[in-house]
Amino acid sequence: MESYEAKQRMNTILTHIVLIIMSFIMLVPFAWMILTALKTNQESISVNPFYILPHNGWHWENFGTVWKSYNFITLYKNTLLMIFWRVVCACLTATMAGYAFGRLKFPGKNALFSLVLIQMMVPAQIFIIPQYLMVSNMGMLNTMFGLVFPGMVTAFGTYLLKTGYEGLPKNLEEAAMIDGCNIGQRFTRIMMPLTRSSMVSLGIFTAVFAFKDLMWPMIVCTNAQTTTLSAGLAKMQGQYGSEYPTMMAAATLAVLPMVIIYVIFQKQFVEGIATSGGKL
Amino acid sequence: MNRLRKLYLSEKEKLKGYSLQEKLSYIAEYYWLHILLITGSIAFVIYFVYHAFFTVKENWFYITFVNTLQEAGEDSALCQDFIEYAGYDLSEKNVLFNSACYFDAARKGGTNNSYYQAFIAAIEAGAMDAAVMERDNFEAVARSGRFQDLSAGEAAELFAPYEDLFVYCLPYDETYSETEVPVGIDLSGSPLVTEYGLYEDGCVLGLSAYSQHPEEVVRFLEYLGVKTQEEK
Repeated sequence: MESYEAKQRMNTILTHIVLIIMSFIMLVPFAWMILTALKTNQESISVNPFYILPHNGWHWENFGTVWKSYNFITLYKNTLLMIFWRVVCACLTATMAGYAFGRLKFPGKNALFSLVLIQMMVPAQIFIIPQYLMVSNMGMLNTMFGLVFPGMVTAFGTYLLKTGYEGLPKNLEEAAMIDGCNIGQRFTRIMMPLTRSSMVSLGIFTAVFAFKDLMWPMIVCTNAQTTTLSAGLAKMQGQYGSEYPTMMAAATLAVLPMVIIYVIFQKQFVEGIATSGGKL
Repeated sequence: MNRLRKLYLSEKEKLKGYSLQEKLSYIAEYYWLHILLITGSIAFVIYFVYHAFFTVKENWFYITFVNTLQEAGEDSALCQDFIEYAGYDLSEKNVLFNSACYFDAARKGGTNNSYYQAFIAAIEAGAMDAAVMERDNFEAVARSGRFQDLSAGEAAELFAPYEDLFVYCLPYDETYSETEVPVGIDLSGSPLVTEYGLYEDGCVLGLSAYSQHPEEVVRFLEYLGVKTQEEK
């Protein structure tokens, strides 16, 4: 008995050691980013491994330099608004399409759903030029609509929500029908609330992908007033490519919103990954 | 329509005798989603119509400076001076100067790819009129067929005065020509490029494959002080 307990304790210790090492490996890039942001340029390009910590003082002014050079308030505002609208649009369209594909019977349903699946199978870059032309012809370049446009409808979301609706028992909907609910009421009052966990997963995925989206904001937003954090950061990389502290200060400021969102929705993030089986 | 009318009458009947507050709470309870969707749709239509009919402006000229050392965007002195030089009316059309573009066409990976694809999308969509970049990079992009042959079509006449500055490249489509064709103009001699410190070791301007305003590109060359053969 004692040896079993000792073995268990040993296992726990070993597991913790492995987890601590893995956590350390995961955290090193972030620590490096923050510490580099506080160094001088000369220090930052030093290859001496003992110079991980700034040894010529902590240069907080690097954050000030970046904050002044780029309008971070505008970048934050644009990014958060883009995330918000993409999440709202994706959840709204995906839940309706998912319900139609998952619960309703109509001619051509399978063919239409195949079209949705095909969209998931081709690289997103293929749609960029047609989407750019559409946005440009609508006069929506450099607008919030232009930024949100490609994320308004999501094939992945439709698929995820369709699976969610298919998993719900039929008798719930039938009971609602007997009680006199029409299709709209069945959808909004009975079925949609039951797919909340799938919607949360989709919202999280959409938010993360919107935050990481670099190419689309670079294409549709040519001026600094309408662009997002990712595109703004890429521009800084071009301008301050060799000034690592400035770059890292910008990167630290750029990841802040996502860190805050993660801290607030940590539980939902983990649940979302478990529900959809995807990776962020 | 008849169903809607019936619904309206039955709801009206139900609400008879209710106070205003009770009526409002009943509507909010049972019709919040309808109200939200209708309000959202109306707001979207207004936003869309406003942008589509009142803010759409074509471009006078759209140029991208790739890997430039200096800010050459819309707020730069270079852009503002050019607008003044060309006498463009910005209330009528836009002038786009984009210097937020950094890539090496011969390299792959990371933001390099994103910038390159964004650049290509603007060319393929016919939005961009011209691009300026370092010679090596220019040749790599030109080999992908993204710049016009300056000795053919409408461009031939417009760019003939700059023949001595032509930069040549083998065309992407081998059936088009087996020999090198002019695809760019060397801007090394431009006093403005030097004055603004745009590039250290010279640069080349290319006319985008689907440029809508090649005559404006010529005007930009004149503004840069690039001398024609005659002027030399």
